[in-house]
Amino acid sequence: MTETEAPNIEEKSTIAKLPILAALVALAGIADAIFLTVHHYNAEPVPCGGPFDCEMVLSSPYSTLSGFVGNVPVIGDMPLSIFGAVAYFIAFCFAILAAFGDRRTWLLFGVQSTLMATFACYLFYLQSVVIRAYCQWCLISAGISTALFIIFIISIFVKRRLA
Amino acid sequence: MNDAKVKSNTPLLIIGAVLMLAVGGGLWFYSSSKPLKTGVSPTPTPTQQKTIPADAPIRS
Repeated sequence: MTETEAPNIEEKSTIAKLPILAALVALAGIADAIFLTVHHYNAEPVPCGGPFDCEMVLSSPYSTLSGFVGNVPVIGDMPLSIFGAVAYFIAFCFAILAAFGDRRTWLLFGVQSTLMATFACYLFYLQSVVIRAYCQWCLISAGISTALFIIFIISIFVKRRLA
Repeated sequence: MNDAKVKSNTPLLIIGAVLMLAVGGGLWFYSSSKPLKTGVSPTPTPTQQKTIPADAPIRS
C-alpha cells in the first residue's frame, strides 16, 4: 500500500511546486522586459554580443506598436517590451494565486502562457524572416514565454497521471 | 495544488511587493542609466574662468 502511495505523494508535491516555479520564471520575464523598456526610453544601445544584432531588431518598427498598428500618435511609439512586462506581471499574479490554492487562476495562467508563447513564436518569425537579425534579450523573453507554457503543459500531464 | 480557497492576504502582499519593486526598480534603473545632457552650463567652471595675472596693466 505504501509502495503505491509513495509516487502519488511525490507527484502531488510536484504539481504544487509548478506554480511557484512559474512565478519565479515570470519574475525573470518582468526583469528582462523592464530592462528593454528602460533602454528604449533612454535611447541607449543594449549590451549585445556574438552573432546578435540587437540594434537592428530594437530599432525596427516591430520593436514598438507602430509595427503592428501603424503610426498612431503616442501609442505607436510605445515599446512592445512594456506590454511584455505587463503580460509577465499578469502571468506572475495568476501563478502566485494558484500557488496559494486558487485553481481557477492556474487555468487562466494556462490561457495567458499559451497566448504569450504564440506571440513569442510570431516575434521569432519576425526576427528570423522579416528583420533577419536576432536580439539576445528578445530571444531570452521568447524562451521565458515558452518555458511558462511548458510548465503549464507539464502540470496537465502530472494531473492526468494523478487522475 | 490545493483546492482550499485563498484565505490569507499573503498572495496579494507578494503581488503588491513585486509590483512596487518592478515599478521602483524600473524608475531607478531609468534615472541611473539616463545619459547626461550635453550643453553649456550657465555658470562657468573654474577651468573656464579667465585668470588675470597679478602684474597685468590696469586699464582705466
